[in-house]
Amino acid sequence: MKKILLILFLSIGASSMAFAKNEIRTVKYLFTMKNVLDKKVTHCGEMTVYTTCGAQWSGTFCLEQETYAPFTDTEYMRIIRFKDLELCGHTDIPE
Amino acid sequence: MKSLIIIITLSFLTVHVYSQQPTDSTLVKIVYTLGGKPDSNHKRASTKYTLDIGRSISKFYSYEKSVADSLLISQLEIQRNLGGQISINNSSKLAASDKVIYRSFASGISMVFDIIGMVDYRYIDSVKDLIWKLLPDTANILGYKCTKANAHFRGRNYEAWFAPDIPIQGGPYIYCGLPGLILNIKDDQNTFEFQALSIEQLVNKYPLAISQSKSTLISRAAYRKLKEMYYNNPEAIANSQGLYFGQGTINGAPYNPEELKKKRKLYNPIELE
Repeated sequence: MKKILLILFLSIGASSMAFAKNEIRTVKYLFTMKNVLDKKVTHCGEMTVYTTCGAQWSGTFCLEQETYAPFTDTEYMRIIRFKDLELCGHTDIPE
Repeated sequence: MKSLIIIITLSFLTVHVYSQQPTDSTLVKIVYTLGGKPDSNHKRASTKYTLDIGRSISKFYSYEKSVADSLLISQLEIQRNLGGQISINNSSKLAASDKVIYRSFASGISMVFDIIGMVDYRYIDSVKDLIWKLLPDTANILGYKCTKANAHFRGRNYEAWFAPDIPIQGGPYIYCGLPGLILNIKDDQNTFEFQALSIEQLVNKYPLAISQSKSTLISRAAYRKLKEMYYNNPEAIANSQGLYFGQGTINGAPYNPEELKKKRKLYNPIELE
């Protein structure tokens, strides 16, 4: 039993290390808050962004929306890109 | 009763006609690499762009970005269904451009789509200020005899090589107006250089239509102003769009956004005017 647990522990550790090399970004949905006055719903989350220039940002974020629906995939991506732009600058883009 | 039926039928027909999108298909696909040096000590990481040519319109976009986005969305979709924390493998090209440029051959007008922060924008660009000077120099690019041309366009001096044998009056980005397809174009500072990598006449054509996705129409001037603000102060644009970030940490340590701003390189867009 101990052996199985050890193997399991090692394999989880190894896979997370492999993920770290591949630069994982993590996002987690935290809570929703309704603002009665301006009819907006605030969705909050926390994330770790492994940016394109190497810096790793971890923190919380909130997005005001008009629906109770949690973040869409596109919104997650755009939030990540905000941080990436802030930290890295994106000088390679011909804007 | 009869007239009511006619009215209902007509209104359905009207809805049908309006919901139809202009249909075109990609006949020729050209892949360009973007190189050059954004600043004196930084060589641009080469990225690929695609120019899809149809009968009536063309579409220019970052091929890598479109592939990366679909990969990222599929990763998010799988993990969101599992619940809990989402981890995304960074195979995406975050630093690739979101800009998609459609050009109508008949009108010569381009419709440019881009994302600034959380919002999709679009603007109309007539590109009337691109006046070329044809030169006698010739070169061979991808087996095509090319002719040289120069132009001053929106703050930069360009040198282009176009193939008169390919009767497409277009090229990468928004450059157009030469009597043949532009296969190479760079500015005199070598900040941007688009070089054709391949030209493919498609057997299996795929649909080509102007995006119908929801976007806000703004003027080019407003877009340029917004884009510069987004580059210089992304947090301000984020806040204006209802997105707020907590203090957070960089590499585990608290960070100073002001210090970060000092390290940022100058905004150096392709169009200076």
